[in-house]
Amino acid sequence: MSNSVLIPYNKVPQYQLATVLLVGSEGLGKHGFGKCLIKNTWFYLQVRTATTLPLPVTSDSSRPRIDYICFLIDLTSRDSLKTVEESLKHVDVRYFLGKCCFVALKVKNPEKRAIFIEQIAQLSQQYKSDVLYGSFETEAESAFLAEQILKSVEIAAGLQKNKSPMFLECCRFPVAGEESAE
Amino acid sequence: MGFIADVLKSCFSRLKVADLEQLIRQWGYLNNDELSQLDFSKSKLCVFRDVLSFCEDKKRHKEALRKVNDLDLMCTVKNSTKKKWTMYKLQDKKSGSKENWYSDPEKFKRKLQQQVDLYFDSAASVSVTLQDGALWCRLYLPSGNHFMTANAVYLIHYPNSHCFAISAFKVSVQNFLFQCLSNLFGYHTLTSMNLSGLQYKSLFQLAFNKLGETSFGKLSDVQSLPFISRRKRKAEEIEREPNLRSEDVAMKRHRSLSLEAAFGEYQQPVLESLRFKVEAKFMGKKNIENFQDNGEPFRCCVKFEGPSVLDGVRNLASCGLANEPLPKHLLRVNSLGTNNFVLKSKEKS
Repeated sequence: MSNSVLIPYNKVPQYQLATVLLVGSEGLGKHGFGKCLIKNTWFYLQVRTATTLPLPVTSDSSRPRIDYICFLIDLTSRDSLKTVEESLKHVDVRYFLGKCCFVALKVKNPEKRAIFIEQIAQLSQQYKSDVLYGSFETEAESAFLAEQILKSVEIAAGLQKNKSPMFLECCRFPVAGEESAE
Repeated sequence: MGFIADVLKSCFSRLKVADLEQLIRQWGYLNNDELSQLDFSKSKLCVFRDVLSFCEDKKRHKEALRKVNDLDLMCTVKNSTKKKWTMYKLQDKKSGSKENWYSDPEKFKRKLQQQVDLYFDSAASVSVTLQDGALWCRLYLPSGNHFMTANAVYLIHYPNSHCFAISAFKVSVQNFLFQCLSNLFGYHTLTSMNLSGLQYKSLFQLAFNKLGETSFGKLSDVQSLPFISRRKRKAEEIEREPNLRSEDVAMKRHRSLSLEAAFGEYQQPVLESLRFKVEAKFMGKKNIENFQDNGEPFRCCVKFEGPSVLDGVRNLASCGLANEPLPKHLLRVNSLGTNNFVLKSKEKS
């Protein structure tokens, strides 16, 4: 099990390089979205796509350090949520400190949804990670999502001076001590 | 003459304007003078009236009727995908009698006419033509004085094979029609293969796979029949992007190899529907807790419908939307030669 867990700090980072891993069931358009991310980036970015975690061990040596993980969920398919939930078991806890996010897709048609928004919100709360809502239907929508993700990736990969994902986390959530004082 | 007009009208209504000129010329009943008088830029109705008047002028009712029937058959050959074909096979060879195989359309027509005269009214007519290596046959089995398209039965038969594709016919003529055909070939009966669709070539291919009339057994060996051309599938293209890489390449390669082993490298025969009648025990008790199991089979019917179901099933699996390996009842459609299945749970001995 320990071998299969994806760890954020087990590899040396490459100079000025950020790597994003897109995880989601097949047929979501990961390849297209990956291209969109590369097109809209303002730093050197590598994208890896996977249907499910753990990643295959054979290609481990050629894989750079994964800086950020996007879990793609199709709201019209229960299987996609299941795949993500299964994959989450193979992710190190340190990724959940600002180094991963959930992307809920096909949000436009509520009548076609197979997954409740509450389920996604619960998942996000459970893993203390952001949820982005959108779709890959048009290029503009993909670009909008890509921009939001790229901002987080830049920080997660340490490409922004004096900012770290942990710092952002501290700004967002009340610190335990402060909470009790209130 | 009313009968000829009706047949001609039904032909014209089925034909496209673009095909009209070519088919009328190919028909060969009208001479050059008459053809030059026809104006194909006019509407179909005008051309129909002209052709009908030419037919009436000739004053040879029988020949005109025969020729119009031929035209009707030519229309069906041209628009074969508009009919629903059902496959039937010959069964139980008559002991002592010789198997009769026909490849000459004239001879086939003569023999079939003899059989039809035995079983049906003398007004029943037969037209036969040879197209793409297959014998196409039209039987008109009249009931009443008026022409009805429902009374025309079309039949496709590849010489030296045991199966036929027959279009829809009235249940009342079924027994006589089957006897007539089985007698013609020296067999006892004609049975349905539960295989139907719009593309007759694909249906024959599936039927031949089942009957073993070609020299292949396994699916992957199903390559091509001499008279049915099959196209190879396009190789799947993977777009290469220097900074974008899939971690599932090995899995995808394995999947495409296993699909190729199961379906072969050629395009699948075209079937429009695949129907499974399920009469097995209910398996979904895990999801429905309150389900009362009284031991009776859970009956339901699952239909796959689309322009090409077998290719669709393959594509679903290759896109990862259907779980691999596919169940056997989907994989083996190619060699089972039927598209109506009944799934039953195994009986315990």
